[in-house]
Amino acid sequence: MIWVGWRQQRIETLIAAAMLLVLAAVAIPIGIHMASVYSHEGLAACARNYTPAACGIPVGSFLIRFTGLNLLFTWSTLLPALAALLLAAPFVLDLDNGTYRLYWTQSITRRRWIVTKLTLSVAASVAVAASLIALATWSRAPLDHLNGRMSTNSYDTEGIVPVAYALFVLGVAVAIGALWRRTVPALLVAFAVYVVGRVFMDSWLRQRLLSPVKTTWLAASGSGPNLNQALVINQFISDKNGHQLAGSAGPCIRTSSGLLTHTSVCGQPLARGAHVYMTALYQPASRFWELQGIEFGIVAGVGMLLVLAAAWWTYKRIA
Amino acid sequence: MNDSPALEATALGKRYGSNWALRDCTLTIPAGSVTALVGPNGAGKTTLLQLAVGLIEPASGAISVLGHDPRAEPLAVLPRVGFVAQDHPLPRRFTIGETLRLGRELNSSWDDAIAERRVDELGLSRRQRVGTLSGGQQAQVALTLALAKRPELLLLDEPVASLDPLARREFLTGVLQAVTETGITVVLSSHIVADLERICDQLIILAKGRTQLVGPIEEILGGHRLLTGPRTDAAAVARVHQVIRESHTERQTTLLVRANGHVYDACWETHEVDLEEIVLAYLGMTSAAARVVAPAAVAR
Repeated sequence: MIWVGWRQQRIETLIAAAMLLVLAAVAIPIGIHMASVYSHEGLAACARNYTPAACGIPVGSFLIRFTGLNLLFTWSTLLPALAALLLAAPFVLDLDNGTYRLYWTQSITRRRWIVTKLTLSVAASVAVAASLIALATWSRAPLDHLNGRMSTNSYDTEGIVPVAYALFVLGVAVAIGALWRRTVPALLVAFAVYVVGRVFMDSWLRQRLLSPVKTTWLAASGSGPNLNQALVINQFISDKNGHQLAGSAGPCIRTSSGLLTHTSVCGQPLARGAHVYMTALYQPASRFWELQGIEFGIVAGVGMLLVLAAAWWTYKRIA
Repeated sequence: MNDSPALEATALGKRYGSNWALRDCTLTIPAGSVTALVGPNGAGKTTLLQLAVGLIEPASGAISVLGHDPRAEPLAVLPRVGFVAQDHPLPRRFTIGETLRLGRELNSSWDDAIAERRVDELGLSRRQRVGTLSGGQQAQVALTLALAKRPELLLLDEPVASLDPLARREFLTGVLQAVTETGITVVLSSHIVADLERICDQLIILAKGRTQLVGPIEEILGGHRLLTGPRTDAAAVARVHQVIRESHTERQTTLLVRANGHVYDACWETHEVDLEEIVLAYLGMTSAAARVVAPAAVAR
């Protein structure tokens, strides 16, 4: 059965591998070049100890120079999802075409057929996502040293969450496919569900997975927390107790690319004199793995539950 | 092999929602027979065959295939049964060679020699993709997969419905060849009666989810007569024989009867009837009273 299952998803696996290869062919040379620029210009010192005077210009120009790689990986977060969609197709196709009637009437049980096919899809999807993680983590390393890994373009392609999203897409696709038994519509709906889920997670749920750290400091003192590598949820002008001042600038969220420092946030607090305070709500960079773990648990858990639901439905309901 | 019948259904029923696809079906298919399962579309033929191979579960009653319950003991049934589903589904991306490998991988009793010989006889290349074959060739490849398992029972669901007459003839010849070579038991469903007489010796007529007639074709042909006579009431005949269908013109009455012994009444002219006419007569009537089970088929 393993040969049959592999033969059925061979094309899909090869397409996914080809997508990875294209990405690698672009990212690896840029990564090598970027690493050499990074060490040549001594930017590691700025990553350890950022001082605007010494690091502002070289770091800024470095980030602008390699912004393309950032963009590449921002989009490559779709790759594991697309691969998982493709890898869900062989399972749904068999239900769609009625070929499952052929397999289930050979000398194997339908349980074995279901387990083999879904295991192969899961394994290939995880492998694709893991390859992306390795590629992104390696080639983005200098950017991550400077920017941290909390912004979406690195958070979504590194750590472990890409694997979770691959499992999620696969689960949605096979579950809808088992119910609907029409391949193309099932995959399209699964992709839409994935996009909605990702936007929801990236923009709303992720920052709420752990209750954020809240810090208030005297704006003029320059002694605020280091937010360079943190996931900043909100930052505003406040009184001493951290209550937002009426009429002050609204939410002032750090952009995901460039570096910002507390002395220049929103460009205005310094002008207001000595008694202006700043308050920031954020997830510090040290919580990267904790957040990744929680998000992985939720997303991969839902994905695997859906895979199991598809397996159960196929086992019990389909004839 | 053992003495159990190839297939035995007891009060078997399958329901989809409130609709009975098959109801109260009791029949026995003896080992070594070639049975035609005949009925219009939606009669329950596919349901019966899918129950036999464990693709679906009975809503009521029981089915035993080669002595085992196909749902409870799939591995006692599946390796011994060859099944070709309606529209003979095959993985279209596979080549013929890969399709044979599929059969070898998934069947412990696979016989490569049978498969190779049949593919050669069909004149197919191992490298050809299944998706590029004609409907008739695909049906033949599906039959090859089923036969190379060396099954004791071959179940074919509407195998020739989508084929042109030539392909239909070739397919049935392939089945017949397997029957003469191995003595395999065959059940094949069809809504076309023509061609079946050539290879089948048992008949099951299904309509609206119920069996209308079960028995050896020879006895069915011998037991049915067409009576024509002056226009009268059929009641007198119906007391002795079972009237399957009656039709009247202004001066003449025609009865198709399942004769209970000889028809002695001199006012009736008796004729033999062919199988197609008998089938049509049974399908024309659907009242529960028409249900009969030929005792010979059950007792054998």
